Parts: sequence; C-alpha cells; structure tokens
Amino acid sequence: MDFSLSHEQKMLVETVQQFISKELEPLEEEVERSGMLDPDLAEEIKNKSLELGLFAMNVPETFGGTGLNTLDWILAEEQFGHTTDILVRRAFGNVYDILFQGTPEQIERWLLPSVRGERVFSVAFTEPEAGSDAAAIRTLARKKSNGWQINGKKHFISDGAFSDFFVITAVTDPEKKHRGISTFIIDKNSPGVTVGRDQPMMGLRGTSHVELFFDDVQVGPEHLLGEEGRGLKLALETLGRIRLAQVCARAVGKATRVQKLSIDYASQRSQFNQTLDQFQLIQQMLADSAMEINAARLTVLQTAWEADQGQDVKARISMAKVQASEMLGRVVDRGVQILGGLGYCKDLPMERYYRDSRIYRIYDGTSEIHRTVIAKNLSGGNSSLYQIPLNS
Amino acid sequence: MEIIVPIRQVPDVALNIRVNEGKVVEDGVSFVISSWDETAIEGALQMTEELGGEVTLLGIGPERVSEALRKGLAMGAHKAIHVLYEEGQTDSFGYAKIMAKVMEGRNYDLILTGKQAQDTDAGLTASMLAEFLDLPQVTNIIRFSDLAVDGMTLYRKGDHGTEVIGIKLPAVVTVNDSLNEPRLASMRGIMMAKKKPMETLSPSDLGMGAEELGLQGSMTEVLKFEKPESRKEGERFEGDETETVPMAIQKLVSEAKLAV
Repeated sequence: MDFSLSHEQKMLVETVQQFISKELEPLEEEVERSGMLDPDLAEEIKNKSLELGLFAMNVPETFGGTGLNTLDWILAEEQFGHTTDILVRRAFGNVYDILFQGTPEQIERWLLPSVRGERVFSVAFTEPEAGSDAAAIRTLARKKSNGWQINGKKHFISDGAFSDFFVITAVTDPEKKHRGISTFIIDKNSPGVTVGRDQPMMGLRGTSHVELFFDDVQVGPEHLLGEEGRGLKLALETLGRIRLAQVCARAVGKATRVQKLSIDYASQRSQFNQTLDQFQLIQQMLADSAMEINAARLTVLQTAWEADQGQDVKARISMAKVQASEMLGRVVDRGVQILGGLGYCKDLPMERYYRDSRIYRIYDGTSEIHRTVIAKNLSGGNSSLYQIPLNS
Repeated sequence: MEIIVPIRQVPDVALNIRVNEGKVVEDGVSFVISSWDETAIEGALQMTEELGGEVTLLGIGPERVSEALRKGLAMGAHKAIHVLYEEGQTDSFGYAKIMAKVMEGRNYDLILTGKQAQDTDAGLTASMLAEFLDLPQVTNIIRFSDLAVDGMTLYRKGDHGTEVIGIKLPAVVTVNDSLNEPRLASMRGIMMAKKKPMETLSPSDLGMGAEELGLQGSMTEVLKFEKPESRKEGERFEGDETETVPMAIQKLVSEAKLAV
C-alpha cells in the first residue's frame, strides 16, 4: 500500500495551489463585498486556466478536456476548496459528467463548447416540492409530433444566472413514477424559458441560485438526453463522481485552509502571557481538527482510487460525503471559536468560511439521505463498507 | 542559444522552519526551487523562445533534487543534469567547483542562475563559477535586451539608477527576481516532464575525490543555525491621535531610551 504522491501529482497540486493563491485569492474579498465577480475578470481567469490546461480537468481527452483520472482530479479539487465557489466555477469550469452520455450531435453542440469555456451550463433538478425526493418533480414534458413541450418550475439552480443552457429533469410518463422521468438539454434563450429571481443565500456570495420557469417550451427530439424514462437513473449515476469532487474533496480543502488560519492565529495571539496554542483546551481543538481532516482525506482519496479501479463506489461516496461535510462543519466551528470575536467579525475570512461551509451538509444529498443510502447498503449485505476488503 | 541554468532546491520558506541542535530539521519540510533560480529558468525559457536553442537545468544534491529538476522541466526546460550527491556540508566554493566540472566539455552560450540561494543568501556560487571558467559575469540583472547568440544588453538596478551593460557570450549572469514572473507548470508540461532527458552523474563520474567534496572541498563551515527569537507583542495605544502620539513618544523616551 503506497500512499506517496507521484512527481506528476505533486506538480499538479503545486500548480493548482499557485494558481489559486496568485490569481483567485486576491479576488475573494471583492466578490464577497460586491456579491458578484466582474465578467471581465471571470474571462481573464478562465483564459489563464485554459492556457495551463487546468480547465475542465474531469473531462476525457476525447472530448477536449485534460483527461485526468478520478484520483488526480480529486487531488486538484481538494485545492479548489481553498477558494470560493464562483471563482472555481469561472476559473476551472463546471462541466458535469452527465453530458458525456450525449449523442455525437449533443456532444458537438453542447459539451464541446462547454469544455472550451465558450458556454456554461448548470443542472436543474431541484424543485420546490422535490429536493431529497428527486422523483417528486412536477415539471412535465409532453411528447409532441415534432419533439417535446415542457412546463414547470425549478429552484435553487446554482450558477443559473450565468448559464447558457440547463440539463433538467422532467416527467415524461406520470404513471411510471421514477421510471417516467427523463433528462433534457434546454437552452436558456428558448422561448418560454424565464430565469426568475436570484434566491439569496447564507454564503457562496457571487454564485447565483435562481428559479427557472418553463412555460410551453417547445424543443426538438434532439434535446432529450439519454433514453426516455431513464433520466433519474442517468442523473444519479453521473452525479456521484461530481459529488466526490465538488463536495467531499472541496470540504477537505476548505477545512485545511480553516485549520491553517486557526493554527496561525493560535500561535500568534497572546492572552494571559502565553499564546493560545499553549492552552490545552485550544490544543485539543487543533488536534481534533487535524485528526478529522486526515481521516476524511483518506476516505475521499480511497474512494477516488476505487472509482479508478472500476469498482461501484456509490455507497462509498455517500460515506465520504457525510464524513467530509460534517468534519468541515466541526473544523470551521472550532476555527471561529479559536479566533473568538475575530472569528465572528467580517475583518477576517473565518466568518465567511463558516457561512460557506454550512451548505456542505445539505446540497448534493443531505447527511440524512446519505446515511440512509449507507444503511440500506449495510442491510443489503455490503460488508465492504466496514470490513477490510480482502476480496477486492 | 544553449543555456545552462544551475538551480538549487531549498526548504519552502513559506513554512515554519524548525531548528534542532543547530541544524535545520528536514523531516516534514517541503522543498522548492529557490525563487531566484525559478526566475532564471523563466528568463532562459524566454531567451530560447526568442532565439531557439535549449535550456539545460543543473541540480546538485540528494535524490529529492530530481523533483526540483522535474518541476523545471515541467515549466518548459528541455533537459536536466542531476549530480546525485549527499552533499553534507558544502559551501559556495564547493558547489562552484562541482559545477565547473560539469561544464567541462559542454557546449553553452550562457550560464543563467539566481543571484543567490534562498536558504543561505550567500550569493557567491555564480561569481566563483565564472572565475573557475574564466568567463565574464554580470550579477543581479533586472532586464535584458538586444538578445543575440554572441551577446546582449543587461540592466542592473543600482541605488541611484540603472546600469546598462553590454556583455559578450559565453558568460555567467545572475538574475534579480524582478526580471520576470515565472510561469506555472502547465498540465501538458507536467505530463511531458517525465519524458524529458535527465542525466544523473555522481561526483566520481566527474573525477572528483573525497578531498574536493563536502566539508573537505569547502572553504567555510557553518557551525550551527539559530532560529531568531520571536518578537514580543507590541503595545497598542487606543484613542484620539492627539493623546496616543504623545503617549507613544513618552514610552519611547522612558522605556526604549530614545533621544528626542
């Protein structure tokens, strides 16, 4: 069992680290203050990232991406967690695996421009009545002689304001319930598509989260992504890897940044004639955070490695999601506590990390949903989730 | 244009350097290319991009130095020479001697390197190397122009202005970090780096015996490292400046014994 990183992996991490500290971190405060990223700056960081081959790293080379395997991509994604959501989206792209399943025409029309950074898209599954219960969506797609007619509403669509098109779920056969849901690619400028208000959030400043309305939106048959009636399965199958990257790995990265700030502060701040890191109660907090960050990182990397071996990692991703997101919650809570009043004050970024971290336990499946997935796997006899894997 | 860039791998100064019993603790330390040498790599790449030719990196030290060389190759350098050598204590003179041996019989127009290493800050190796090779040298450049295979114009920043110097090649030139902003290694560069040639030599391959190496081959010896004492926390005077300034001055006079 060799845990060392290769030369190439170290250089990849270093390049991403340097890019983030040089190009992105200086923009964080302004994004936080104004609530937006200047479009010219967005274009600039995207172009620099494209030049270095850091854009769309998860996309296979056959589609024009960097073609990293899951483990290498996850190493980069951990570093993405050090900065803010909107800067990561604009600098490194946000190309969901679900589009890899498109037809050659769909790949040409929608995927390739996204990989080149020319178009941006978001996935739009969540509805006011369908969050964790993704099969409860009410958006309806009726089959017509020349394609589909779509009516319905989505909400909390991350990056929706900036997106050029959306991958949405819609009911195509209400009788078949979760087997009657399909996925469609809908251009934002299609007649009948309205982007509603930007729903204000606790954190993630700069990233829009919008409502979407579809009123008699007419699309041709080429807009159906994957097979009719298999949309929910397609969505669930292709979102796992993205979840491991964008939630689990980034949670580890964010916790690492929080811990660094906590240690720096504790080693400099003096009270009662000694620095905070000399107090045992503070030492316990720092030690607990270090142990938990390490444990979560190992889980995330092991899951990525198993994905590269072709193993079924759905339940492992659920374990990583709960472990990493809840770890981040504890680490950032301690971070605020260690910094005291300055942890609560907007003069230092700890307060922002605290707000940005809370969503990790909610989006991409709540902790409760993922615990249910884990428990069902255990009941179903999946002992590899807790036993040493002698058979793999 | 053939350029050799000697680089040094140093502890990452962004991290907390620990000292134990007069020695720097290497365990847990990450090593990076000395920042001025990274500037030299970038400068050499820009020169070869303009005139053609190749950039060869030269690193001396233990196995870990190969990582610094790979990083330079990922930035775009064409090949590397690694003198694999558990250096122990070697000073600038010792390193310059090894480098001079490496240069024997090699074809180069320019030796370009950082003005000093980030760990020792000695700034002696390049000058000694120029002396051993009997080459002209210009140190601490902030700019170059009129690039040609047989010479160029170099700019040094002085206290009261800029010195503009014409130099004939071959020569040894050292760079200031204001010369450029070193590029990041691209993904393509990282993938290509492992395919680029790296020549590994031992001191004996260079015909060097024990008497020329380590402490024996050095003219100075570092007796120990001491960590600077951490600075005491300052005192903050709060309130209107008409009150706080006199308070601060009084403290400076009474406690720091400042003469006013």
